[in-house]
Amino acid sequence: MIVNHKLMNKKVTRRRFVQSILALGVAAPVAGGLFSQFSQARPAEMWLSAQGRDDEQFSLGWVDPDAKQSQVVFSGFRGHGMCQNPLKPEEVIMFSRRPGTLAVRVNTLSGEVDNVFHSEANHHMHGHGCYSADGTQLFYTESNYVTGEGKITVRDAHTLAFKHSFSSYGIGPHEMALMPDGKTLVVANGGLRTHPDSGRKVLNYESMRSTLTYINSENGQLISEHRLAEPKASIRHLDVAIDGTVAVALQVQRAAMGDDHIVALAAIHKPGHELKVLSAPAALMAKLHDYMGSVKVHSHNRLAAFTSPKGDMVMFWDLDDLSLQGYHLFHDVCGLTLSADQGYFVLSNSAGKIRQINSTTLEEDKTKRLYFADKSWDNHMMTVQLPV
Amino acid sequence: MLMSSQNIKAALLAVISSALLVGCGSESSTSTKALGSEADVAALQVVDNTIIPAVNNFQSQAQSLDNSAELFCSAGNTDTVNLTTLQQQWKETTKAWYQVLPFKFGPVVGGLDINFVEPIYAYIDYFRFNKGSDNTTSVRNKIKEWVDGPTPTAVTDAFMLEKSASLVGLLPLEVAIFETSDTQSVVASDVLSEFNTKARKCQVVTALSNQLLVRANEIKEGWLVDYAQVGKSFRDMLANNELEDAGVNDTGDSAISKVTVSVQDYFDYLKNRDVTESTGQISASIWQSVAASLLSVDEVLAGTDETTLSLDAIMKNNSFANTVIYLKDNITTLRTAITNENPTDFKAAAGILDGNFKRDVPDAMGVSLGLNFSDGD
Repeated sequence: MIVNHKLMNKKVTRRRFVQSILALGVAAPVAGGLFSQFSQARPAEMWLSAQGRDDEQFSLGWVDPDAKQSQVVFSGFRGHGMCQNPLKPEEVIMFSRRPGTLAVRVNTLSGEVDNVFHSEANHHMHGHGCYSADGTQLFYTESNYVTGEGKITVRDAHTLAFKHSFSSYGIGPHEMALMPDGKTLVVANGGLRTHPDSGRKVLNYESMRSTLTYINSENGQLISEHRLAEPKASIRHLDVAIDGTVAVALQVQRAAMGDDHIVALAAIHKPGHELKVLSAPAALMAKLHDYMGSVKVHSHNRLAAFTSPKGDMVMFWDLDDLSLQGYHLFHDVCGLTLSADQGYFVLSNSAGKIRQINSTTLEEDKTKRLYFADKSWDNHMMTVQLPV
Repeated sequence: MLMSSQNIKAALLAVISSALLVGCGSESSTSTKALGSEADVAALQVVDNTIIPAVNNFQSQAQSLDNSAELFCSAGNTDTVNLTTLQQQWKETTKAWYQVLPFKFGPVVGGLDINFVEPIYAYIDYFRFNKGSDNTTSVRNKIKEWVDGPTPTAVTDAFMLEKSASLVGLLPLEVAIFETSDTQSVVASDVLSEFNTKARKCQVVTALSNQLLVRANEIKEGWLVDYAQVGKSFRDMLANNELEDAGVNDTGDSAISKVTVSVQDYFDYLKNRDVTESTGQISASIWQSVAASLLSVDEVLAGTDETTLSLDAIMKNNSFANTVIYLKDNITTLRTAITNENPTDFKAAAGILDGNFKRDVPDAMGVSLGLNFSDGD
């Protein structure tokens, strides 16, 4: 195990990490690499997540579940979501959290940051994106904070050079994904407008309008738009099943509501239908504090899992009959992915803990617990499987 | 100034690894080892010196309330003196409850499947559970129905045990003890007269007081003896970090997290709900109740005579003496609002303390209550 205490204690070094890369014109090659520092072979499966509590820690971290080890590569900014290049599965992009303007590309084979890019002028990121099916283009969500318009920015997947952008057909686009047809993008427009000058403060509670939009990735044309009955429910995160069923996680803007009625925090959208909210007993829903943070679909088992860090809970619904299948309590849980063999829902929390829930029984396998006390897993987790 | 290319390379290689620190089942079962941080040691002292005494007191007061109800309703004792005693005991019981209320976790919730069962505190304080919705009218209607009869044939303890959380607890007792069911008169002679002319009203009061005692006993049992039927006390499972493995509904977070988040949640409740305008109105006692809850909060921060490591001491030791000072100032401001019985100032002061316990206390204690919890996206 190598712990670079010297670097860990050099605050200026890491703070300047990204600045320096940018100043050098990006794509600084790195000798050596992550796995050259370890005696074991690189892992076949990794769970990636933004992690860290402050500027000195912010990084892309990952867990090797077999070796029970975790590693990080510093980013210098707080990351949020990630996406993996289908053409080059070793390449992963980590986007900065709203309203950040930076993203890094990490080569998970070498453990190197091989590129950094930032938003175009007057734009900020929302923390999520995806690659085109052929791996040649990178799509990600942004906002023009002058006009407030939601954007899908398109970059060359290899050079990461800006190509063009098109409308997300909503305000505050957050998570997005490529549909199984390999052509259509589905975008969660949270409906909330922010500005870097005012941090994360929501500027349009009264007029917020959240939508789920389907967009042709080839020409940027809107295919369809869908809304929830509750206008103050912000559609923020989503995941897509192989049959095109989309599960969306919601965050209710209670400050903009005049009452305390319980609002559903999860919904399902199937092609050709309207959004259907997922219900649960009121006692359970009340615990969630209006907040679902992440969603993951298990296509084969026909399940959608949702995490609520404010409710300390992961909940499971059937994708088809929309019935609640179970729930599990876990303090400050948000990170959510599936193990490579699909056998487990993998959960992470800000205390550095990992839990695995059997995707058939929905019971936790306590023998698989992991704990990395020096890590603070952020909102999202992603499984990466590399060719052996 | 830019770094040299050598330093840049070093920064790019700033890949830190860490081995798995704790695997499943490898944690120690001793409380000393399990409670690794001084913050958790201090939190456990809050448990032992403040929370458990408050729970014991609440159970004791609920027992006294049940005794007072039985005495008042026994033959020849339904008189003004005993009514006054009964009403005063309800106030004392409610004050005792408010000293427990900032600690809404563990046995106060119950550890059962919340998918199917309402938490225990809902059976005591439905207003707290029901997101601040005032159901006094429906309670009044139900009590009048029970008092007037003819169904059920008799209002017994067993009958009341089956009632939903919205129909039992402190509010129904207040309605039954402090006012008439016909006209909502709070004149003592009117109330006494109704008890003497409608025998079923005493059945209602004694059954409700019994039901409250059952819940108080459950909370005490959970803290000290057996939590959620797993054969161990919540106190010991918390001390030994066993909660996540105990098969109960618990998130497994630390003692300091549970205490701090719960107190913060209490102030959030006071800030957002019309507590002083919707509860304790018939008895005109809410201000003394919320004042009592601040005694618990004082002890959370400063400790008691039994405390050897307090949160205040840790914050001062962490060079956050100013935080200790303005926490005291903010509590004083809230006390002033209580003294003046000013709901607006009360909510404002509670809101400031909500923020203090959400951010300032964790910062000064050097603990994290959860990155996502406080700062999600």
